[in-house]
Amino acid sequence: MHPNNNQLLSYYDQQLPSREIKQVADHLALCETCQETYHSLISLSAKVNNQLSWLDPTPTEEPIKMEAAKKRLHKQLLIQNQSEAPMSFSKSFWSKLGTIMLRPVYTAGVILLILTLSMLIPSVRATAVNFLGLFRIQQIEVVQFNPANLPHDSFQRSSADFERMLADTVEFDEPGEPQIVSTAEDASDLAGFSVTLPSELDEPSRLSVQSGSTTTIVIDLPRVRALLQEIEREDIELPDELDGATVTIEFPSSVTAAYGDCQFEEAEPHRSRTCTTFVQLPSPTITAPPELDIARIGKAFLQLLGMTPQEAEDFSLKIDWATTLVIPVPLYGTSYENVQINGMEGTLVQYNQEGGNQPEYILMWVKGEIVYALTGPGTLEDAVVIAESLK
Amino acid sequence: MVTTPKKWMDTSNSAKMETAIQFEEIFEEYWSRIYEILFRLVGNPAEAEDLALEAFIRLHKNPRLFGEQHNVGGWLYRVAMNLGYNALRASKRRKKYEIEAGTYKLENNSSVDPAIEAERSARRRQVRHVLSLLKPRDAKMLILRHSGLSYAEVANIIGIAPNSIGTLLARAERDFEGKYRRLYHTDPSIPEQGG
Repeated sequence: MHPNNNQLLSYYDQQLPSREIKQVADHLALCETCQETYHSLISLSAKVNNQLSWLDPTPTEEPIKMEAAKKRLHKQLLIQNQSEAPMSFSKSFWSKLGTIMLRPVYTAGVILLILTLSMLIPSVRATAVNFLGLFRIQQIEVVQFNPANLPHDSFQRSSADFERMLADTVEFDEPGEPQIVSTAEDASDLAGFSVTLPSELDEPSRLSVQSGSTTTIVIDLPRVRALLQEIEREDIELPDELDGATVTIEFPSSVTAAYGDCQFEEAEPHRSRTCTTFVQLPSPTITAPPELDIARIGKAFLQLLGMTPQEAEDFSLKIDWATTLVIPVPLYGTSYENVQINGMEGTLVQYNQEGGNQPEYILMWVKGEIVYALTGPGTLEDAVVIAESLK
Repeated sequence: MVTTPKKWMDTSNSAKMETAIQFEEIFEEYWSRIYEILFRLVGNPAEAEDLALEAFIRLHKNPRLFGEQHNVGGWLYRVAMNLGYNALRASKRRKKYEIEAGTYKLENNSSVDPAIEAERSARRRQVRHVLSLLKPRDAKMLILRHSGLSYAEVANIIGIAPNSIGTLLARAERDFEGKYRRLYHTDPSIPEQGG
């Protein structure tokens, strides 16, 4: 049998197993057709390698000396350690929420969201074991708010107090550094659920698994009230029984695939115009006692966003607070719509990043137990094409 | 090999010390190889150096890999190729480095023949442009093979069966040559005449 292209090129590159070398050489000596194939293969190979040789470093482009390289590496590692070592509560907490709740939910929105979470508390003081109520994401709804209606200045002032309050009353188990993995299978093994990647995109430039974490919040009602007062929303009423109540939020392991030119080192990830990220995780869950009136807290949340009590009531009637993740997006500069992804309903938010003139999107959907979020530059169509190509 | 342990990490106990030594050995073994392969992809020393360091910093965060001699090289190359290939495709960041590199050349190398340099930089731009148009896997395979890695190593880094490397390489070469010819109307083996 004639050797195939694979064997011929392997022979030329001296990569053939020794037992096959003689076989191919003998055959080549006798077979003219094979000689022709071989010569056209190796002449192409030589051409291409010749061309690639332009890329080889010249003597002035050689790597820096080992000692100098080590020095640079050492310095970089030190910088990294310094920025990571204190790993303050707030930094990791915000960046985690930033990853999961996604970018366009501006800081104010995130603070509101946390405030809501911290208000998801039992109407009676909970005993330690009485956690039966369950929040699990099955749907996603977007609510638009007018940032102008938020008390900006006081928010800025209070956010430090707010973080301090969180630090005092929140126990956040540090999930550690994301683990870089090379394949979706490795990611599945590590994260404990079946990870899928969109075939529409090339291999991710980084695939990482963030282990899960549990956050426990003990409500300090006087401080929550003081905070509400500070943001001039003392009209939002909170029942006395909330004080000392405990809420547990569990984030399962999440998997993030990054495509293109993405940066991960800063707490607030800077995404360049070519960075697309795809996050997937089983729904986070919030446990709270069954007595909890989630709708009431949800309505308080909507009022915080600037809705009148009546508007909050109307919106609240449309959704099931126990299964719906409500994402606040600013009224201006964003638009949202519901889209179909292989028959499933997805929520697409489009926005212009500050200073950018290129639209970006966030597309979120829930399939079974898994929440998916795709962010990147482009249009609705780009997003849907990628989402529909999930393997 | 005996090496002096450096302050890579807090060496407060022997396990950490062991990890630090392993990391240093890996760095010594792979630094110039990783740099060179990245240089081929991005084309200037400063950027190649930054990306190579980035690959090692990522490795540093995965100490569980240090002991696996057969895997750590593949892992490093895989990370480096991803970094380099993405940089090859991203044009914006490139500018900064190109300006730096140009200045560097002028300042440090009075002996460089400007005509040869111009030819080299034009050719490099063309080759990289064509590489950026190939399938990522094809471009990576061509660079890895050209950098002297064995088929088995390439197969491990790319994540395909070793016995299909030859076929895929031949296909990648055809694609490279076809695209090159279409774009630059020239046969890659014949040096360009004139300007």
